[in-house]
Amino acid sequence: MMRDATANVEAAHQGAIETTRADAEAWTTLHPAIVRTWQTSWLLLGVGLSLPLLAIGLFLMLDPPRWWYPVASAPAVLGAIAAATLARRRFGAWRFRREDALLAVRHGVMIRKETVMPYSRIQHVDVTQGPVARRFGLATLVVHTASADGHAVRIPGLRVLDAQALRDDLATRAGLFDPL
Amino acid sequence: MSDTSALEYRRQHPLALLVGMGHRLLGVTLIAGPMVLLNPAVRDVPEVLVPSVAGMLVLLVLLPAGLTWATQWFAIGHDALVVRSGVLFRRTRTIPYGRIQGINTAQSPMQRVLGLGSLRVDTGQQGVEAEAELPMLRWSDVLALQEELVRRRGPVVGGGGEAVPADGGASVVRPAPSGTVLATVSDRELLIAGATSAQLLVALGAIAGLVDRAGGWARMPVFGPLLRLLEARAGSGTAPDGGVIAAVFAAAIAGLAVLWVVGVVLTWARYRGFTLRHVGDTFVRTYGWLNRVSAVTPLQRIQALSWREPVLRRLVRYGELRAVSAGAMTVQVNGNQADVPTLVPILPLDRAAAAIAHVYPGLRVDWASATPRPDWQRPSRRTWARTGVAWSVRAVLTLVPVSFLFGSVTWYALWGLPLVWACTPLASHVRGVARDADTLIVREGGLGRETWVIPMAKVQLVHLRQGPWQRAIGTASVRITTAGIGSIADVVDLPEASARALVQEISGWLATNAKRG
Repeated sequence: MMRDATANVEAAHQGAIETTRADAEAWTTLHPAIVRTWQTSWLLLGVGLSLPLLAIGLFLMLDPPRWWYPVASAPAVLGAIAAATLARRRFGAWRFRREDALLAVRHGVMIRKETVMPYSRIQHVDVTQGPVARRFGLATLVVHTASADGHAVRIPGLRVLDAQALRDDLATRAGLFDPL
Repeated sequence: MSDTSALEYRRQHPLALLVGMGHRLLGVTLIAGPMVLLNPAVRDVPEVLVPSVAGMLVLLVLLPAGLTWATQWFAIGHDALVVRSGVLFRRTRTIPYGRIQGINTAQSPMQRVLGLGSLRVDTGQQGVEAEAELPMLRWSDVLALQEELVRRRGPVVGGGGEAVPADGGASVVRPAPSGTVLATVSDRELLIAGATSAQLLVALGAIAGLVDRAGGWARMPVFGPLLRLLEARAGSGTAPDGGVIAAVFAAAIAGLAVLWVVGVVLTWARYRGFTLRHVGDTFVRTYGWLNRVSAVTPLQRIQALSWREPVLRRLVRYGELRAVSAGAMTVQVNGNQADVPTLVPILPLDRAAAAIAHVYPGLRVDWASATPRPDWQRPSRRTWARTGVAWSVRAVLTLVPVSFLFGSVTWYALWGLPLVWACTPLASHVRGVARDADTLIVREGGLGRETWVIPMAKVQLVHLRQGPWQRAIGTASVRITTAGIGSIADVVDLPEASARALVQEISGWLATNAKRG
């Protein structure tokens, strides 16, 4: 089932990393499977928080107060609401662009953030992959600089091969492959 | 990696053993002395004293000092400094000369008597790796070594940016002992610096809390138990009378005054005789009364300058000039914290401006003016409500921990919130940003101010941030960071078009100029 869903979005998103909006030809969006990835992880997180609380009420407490069950199930409900409303908008807000000398990243639904990172500032580049993202064949690219705010630019929702290609591309542009 | 076998090792000077034992003896006496003397076992059986003191001396003084002496060495390699340290967990560090962020010497009173000193190398890493301490040497050797390291550091190859536009860089200069004196700080100015430190505000707050609490002494967290103690001494079983209250009150105020005076004296002793010089392509700071410190910072390693004017110092027209580099936030100098970013602890504006002009000669800024440059951009005027809310939230968050100390009286301070709101126009008056050819000038703050001078070549990341409220009023904030610790400059609430133009300008500059060093 899940595989099918992945295959469908895959088909809908032919060519994976492509531009979607005419006004910004160079902006790249994330892979659409990231929507499912976020939805799944938020649901899992919510349920994972709620289940133990519910279990405590059922098996450990003799007479749980009346508010216990609504409060205990709140994380799962919140996770479901976030999955239903936020994931798609978040996907829509996320984009990045490789320019000649810098990487630009734009994201955020409520609070919009744009970050500009010159390639010459890149210290190292990682590709990471969580369990849920792995299920959907996605990976996150993490680009580190020496910036004082300790901010690493994270680009989630790339297909593993794309993430690796992007990692190598950024590392090359940053001159990290130069002989020492 | 350097081949360590071919190096010439250098150990601590033998007299260092004495200094190490002396420092430890002092510590042990201060901590364990009272414990031993107050121990009833010692009072009853004085013979216990001799073996216990002897054992302590061996365990805590002789052994550690000897082991430290025996296990530390360093060597001047061809392209790196090799430092071996640690008694139980031994560590050999190889520090390439090109990576050295600062070379500091320090001399404690005990070292001065014996003609010794120590040298610390700031490696630009963070945490425990931030600096390497070289073993104690003869003072003349320390100075020679400092000179040698400055020389070996060689022509600067930028790590993360071009050279600061100063006259250094091309020429590798042996530091002449003199150089150009950029700033000196007089004793009077140091006393002002101590007197206007934030401790004064804390003391005033504490006194205000005491005055307000005059009715409910017995319930106060610290003074209640103290009062009960006094009552027990006086033998009265009832509520404390006016005389006792007045005495406690006077003692509290006197105590705070003493703390404040001690703070003033410590500041003075720490920075006594402060001189900032420009030698070759480095800044050299020398200061200290008991502990003498000389700190060498390569100009190219400076990521940004910051001119900081806290409220109290602004009142007396002084400020603090700071230079942030990627290295340690503070270094240990014989157990004392020395603030590395503090370039000059206290300066009047005109002399600070002269020092800044020396680092960035091309910079055209009228520091005394509210609009330092003709192209100065201010936050949008529509942001006063946002600023007011932000300041109120910050005020409440500051009051929460204070209220634990002084009780609910703290919340009377909330009556000051209208005053906070009345000050919000200050934010758009003070804050702003301007761009010189290769340098950004960013001013933050309100009552107190902080002005950043950031060379474009040092910029690491630029963020543009826009929350829902900002979208509604058409503003955005820009954050500019460098690799220097704490160098996060915020331009809050610029008009959105200006904010985008600023990001465009910086990224345009970086696109054409930023090459990997």
